[in-house]
Amino acid sequence: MATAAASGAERRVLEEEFKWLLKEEVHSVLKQLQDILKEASRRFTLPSGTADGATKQENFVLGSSSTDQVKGVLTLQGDTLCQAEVNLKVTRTNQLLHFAFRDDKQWKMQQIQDARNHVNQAIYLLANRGENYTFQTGSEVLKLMDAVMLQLTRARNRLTTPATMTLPEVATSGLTKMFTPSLPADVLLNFYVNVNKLCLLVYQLHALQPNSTKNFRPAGSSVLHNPGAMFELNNQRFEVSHVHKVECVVPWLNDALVFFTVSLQLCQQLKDKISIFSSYWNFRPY
Amino acid sequence: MPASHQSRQGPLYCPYTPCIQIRLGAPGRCRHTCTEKKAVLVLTCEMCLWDVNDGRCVEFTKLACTHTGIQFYQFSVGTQREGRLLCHGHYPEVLVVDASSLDVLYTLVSKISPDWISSMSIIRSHRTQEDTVVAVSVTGILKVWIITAEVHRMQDTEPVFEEESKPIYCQNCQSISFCAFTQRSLLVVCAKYWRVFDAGDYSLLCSVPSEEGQTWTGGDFIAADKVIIWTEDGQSFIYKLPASCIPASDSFRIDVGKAVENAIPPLLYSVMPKEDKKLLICPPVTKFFYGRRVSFHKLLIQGDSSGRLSIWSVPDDLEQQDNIEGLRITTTTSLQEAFDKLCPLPAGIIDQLSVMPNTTEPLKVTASVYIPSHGRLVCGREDGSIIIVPATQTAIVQLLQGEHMLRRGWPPHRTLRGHRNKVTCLLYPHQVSSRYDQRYLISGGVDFSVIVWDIFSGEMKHIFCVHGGEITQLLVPPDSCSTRVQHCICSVASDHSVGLLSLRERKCIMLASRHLFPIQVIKWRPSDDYLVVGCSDGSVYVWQMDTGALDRCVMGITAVEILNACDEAVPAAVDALSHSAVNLKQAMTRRSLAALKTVAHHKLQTLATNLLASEASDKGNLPKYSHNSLMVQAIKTNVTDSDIHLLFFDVEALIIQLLTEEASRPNTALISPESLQKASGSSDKGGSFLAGKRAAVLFQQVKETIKENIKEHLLDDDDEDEEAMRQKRDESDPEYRSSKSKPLTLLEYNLTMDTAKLFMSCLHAWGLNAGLDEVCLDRLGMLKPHCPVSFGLLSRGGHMSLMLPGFNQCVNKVPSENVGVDRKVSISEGLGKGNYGVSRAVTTQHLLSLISLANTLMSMTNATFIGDHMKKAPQRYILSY
Repeated sequence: MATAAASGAERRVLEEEFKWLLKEEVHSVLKQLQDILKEASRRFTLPSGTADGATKQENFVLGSSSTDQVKGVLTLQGDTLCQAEVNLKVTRTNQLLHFAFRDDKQWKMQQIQDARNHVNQAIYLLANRGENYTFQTGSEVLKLMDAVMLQLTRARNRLTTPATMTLPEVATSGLTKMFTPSLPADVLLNFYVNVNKLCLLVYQLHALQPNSTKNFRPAGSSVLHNPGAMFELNNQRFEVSHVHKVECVVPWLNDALVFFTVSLQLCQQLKDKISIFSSYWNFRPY
Repeated sequence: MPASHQSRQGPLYCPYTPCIQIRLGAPGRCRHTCTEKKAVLVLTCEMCLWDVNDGRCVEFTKLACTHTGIQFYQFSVGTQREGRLLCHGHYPEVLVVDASSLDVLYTLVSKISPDWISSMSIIRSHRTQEDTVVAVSVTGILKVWIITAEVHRMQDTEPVFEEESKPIYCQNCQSISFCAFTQRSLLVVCAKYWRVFDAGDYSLLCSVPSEEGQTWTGGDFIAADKVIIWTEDGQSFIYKLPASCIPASDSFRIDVGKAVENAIPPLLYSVMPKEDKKLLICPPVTKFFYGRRVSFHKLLIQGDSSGRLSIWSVPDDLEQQDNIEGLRITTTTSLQEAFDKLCPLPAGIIDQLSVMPNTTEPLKVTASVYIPSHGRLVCGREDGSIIIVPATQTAIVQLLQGEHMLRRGWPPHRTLRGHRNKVTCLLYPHQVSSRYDQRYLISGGVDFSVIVWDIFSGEMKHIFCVHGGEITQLLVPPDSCSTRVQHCICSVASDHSVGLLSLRERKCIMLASRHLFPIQVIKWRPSDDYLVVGCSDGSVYVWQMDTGALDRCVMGITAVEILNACDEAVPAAVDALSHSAVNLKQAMTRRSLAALKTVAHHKLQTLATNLLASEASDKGNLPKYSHNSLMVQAIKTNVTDSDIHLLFFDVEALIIQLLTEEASRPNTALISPESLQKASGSSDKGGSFLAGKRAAVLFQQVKETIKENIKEHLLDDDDEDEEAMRQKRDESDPEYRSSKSKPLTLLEYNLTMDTAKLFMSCLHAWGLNAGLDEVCLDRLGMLKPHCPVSFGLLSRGGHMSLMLPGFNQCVNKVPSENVGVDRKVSISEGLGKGNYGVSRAVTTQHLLSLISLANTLMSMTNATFIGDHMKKAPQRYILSY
């Protein structure tokens, strides 16, 4: 406890310890952080081993344990979906629909790109305070840790909290125009990342009659809209009749998330260590 | 420096995004050429448009994305000039925002490898109507967009795709700028090197690495053949470009395609930063300005996190000068200097009670809470003591001249001692919920303890020592919690623990610890008996209050959903505020004293009815109004700074209170029950009670809109006269004591008049009319401020601006040396004309408030602030009780 009882000798020892913390411990933590984050960053740009440096393509089969109505095969290259195939079984008509990305189209997973950029910014911040840099005050370290943690929290949040969208936003997102054969008017698609999983949402719609007695209430923003959600697009009202969600774990996203969590904890521990001393330095004897 | 502590870290920077704020202050400068001075301020995802003249937030908007850069861009379509803001940040597009409405108009999109934009520049073409936007993405790809006149006319249509996309391999690009002198080259500054490119085909002309340990943060062309580059630590260097980079030279482009690492070009100059460099919390922001209209000054301007602004004038004939010395600073100023120059110096709210022997600086106030029902301000200080003072009296002492200046130990106060070090937070639970005993005051300190006090007796009731870190927050659980929890307060500590401390059982009934990250938010789900803890890393812990068991710990989307679910019952406060701001003008125009009086009469009428019905009920009614007329809010500019206090005056509440008290005074026959009846009868609807209620709602609305706030920079009263503390003090002491033990209605009157006195004295335009000043002083009993009062303004979206010292002075004006002699003159200058010339919005509010309050006071009998009255009236009451 920071009290008046801190004697001269105690204070001297504390000052020594604080100096050691700034000179040695901080740099060793920063080194550790850099190593972890470089490892995390490497996950986002898996090089293919070939000389051209192009990122490896990985295939993921998206499915769900409860239903087999929707199946998706996605090809991910870094942050880009370069191929996608979606099979949809319509129960009502027992019809099997098949769509795939047009050859000239790719879809960027913005969440992955954002996460990668945030990690790279964190690495840049750390690299800027290399071993040769001398930290003079604790607040300098706290400031650096805050900046690094802000980037890491954002990186992690981008993956763990997918954007919420309204149904008209989903319908006009451009994703609908990427398929061949083109999507029927009563089907909507959306891709996103949730934590370590690549997810595909398929909404089946039915158009509401203009004179329908149903109480029309447009749904707000959400990651996943439940059946019954309504929206209006080009003066036509729709209601979601079925929602299918299929997903697949992306192992390297899982690794990256673990690295983020570990790094954040390291940062916080260093901050806590520094803060303990601050109550001594603020102290004025009375 | 008795009071400079108010400015130790200067401006009200948000600790997390200082760089963005300052950098984005820059467009404000660019806009000085416009007729209206406006600045755009961006706080990560919130964007505000400020009227710099008035200190008023004109517009604000929130987007889901984070901005890192913004540039103002003006174009003219015919004779019409329109402003656009180009924003980039943690998203792959460039957003084009209307500079007056802050609406997103359209976006500039990349077709090829879209990625975040790290820096951007706008190239104006004087010959054609086409302007070019050049940007570099984080992966080092140069992007070019053409903005044509057609594009300007577009409103929310298809995105604009890039014209060109070329990898230039520039990692960590800090800035890109176009040579305004030759129109032929581009300068790209990266953290570890800077490069010059041909603006025609974007081929590399030269590349210069930084020296060891240096990190570049930006640069610009200062002449056709010279560039200025600045570093992270605030230094700047001027380089002469090699001949291969100068279009006028014969050897232009001779190095294209060859080895990129040229020899380092000659360093012409190094620009000297300010000598006594303090350690900055973030790199300073530097920008080069080249005046193109009236004066052709070349200025380098730098702002840093200590609140300092420095300007260097860059000479044209750089070669001829001796470059060993470097370029001297032309002018510099900082907030700290502006504060230090103030005479008299601003003081803290209880400085006269915090004077320490052997030191010049008063004790810092580290935490405070205002108790409106008693009009008391509770201040915790850095030595662990807590002081309770009447808020209006302490403010009068700090601000106004008068007899009280001569008294020692005035205002009457009470000191509580118990903490062994800094008091970090204070809570008066009765104010939040009436279920708590009104005697209880809770304080938390750096010594890990939470102490329960009896404010009436000054007794320490209990010490809780359950945390392993300094107490950071004290909270009150909602009313719907279980009975056991209802008698608890919730404490949060820096060891990431949360405690539920039962005031009744005097023990900690739950300690939720082991959170890995600092606690950011506490929420409640009383129906499920859950305490929800949100940590700074986004994780959410759900604790069962009864058993103290951790129910679950979640992250991501579920965490957000849980937190939002707790919020659902709480109405959005921000919306209400912005709504009232929209209606401000209407409210002001509709506002008339007659209307106010009518409402007051309605209230009186209800009161009178209640009085007839039961005598006791007035006690319950009267203090209800007294809650609102004055609020004292403490704010901190920095964690290590002491609290500064804002006084919020609610003129409506004050008027209602004055009128209510006037009517309830026993010897006044001004408002008879008949007239009351008439007043209620004249209002359209029959039910007087309902009418009163409706009026109250209306009032609430008006009140919100014209909430006045005054911030005090107070003076430390040094020349305290020892002899002058006469019997007055002894007189006042019993009065005070009785007021403390009996916070009854009649003493509220005293508080109301004090508030009105403080308000009128601060707002009156002293020094404009000598005759009027005299009347105010002698006959009305108003007091002259002894230091300039600093005002503030609440505007759109609840944004507040406060005047800082120097707001009415020109930066270059040299302060006169014999300040001591000029003291009186400068005070009256600073007060009268100063207040009324600074901001139109503030002046309007002040005049309206002054007139309405003065009218109210005039309509009252015996309404005077003269000390005589103030002294005798309460005494009479004391005697009669």
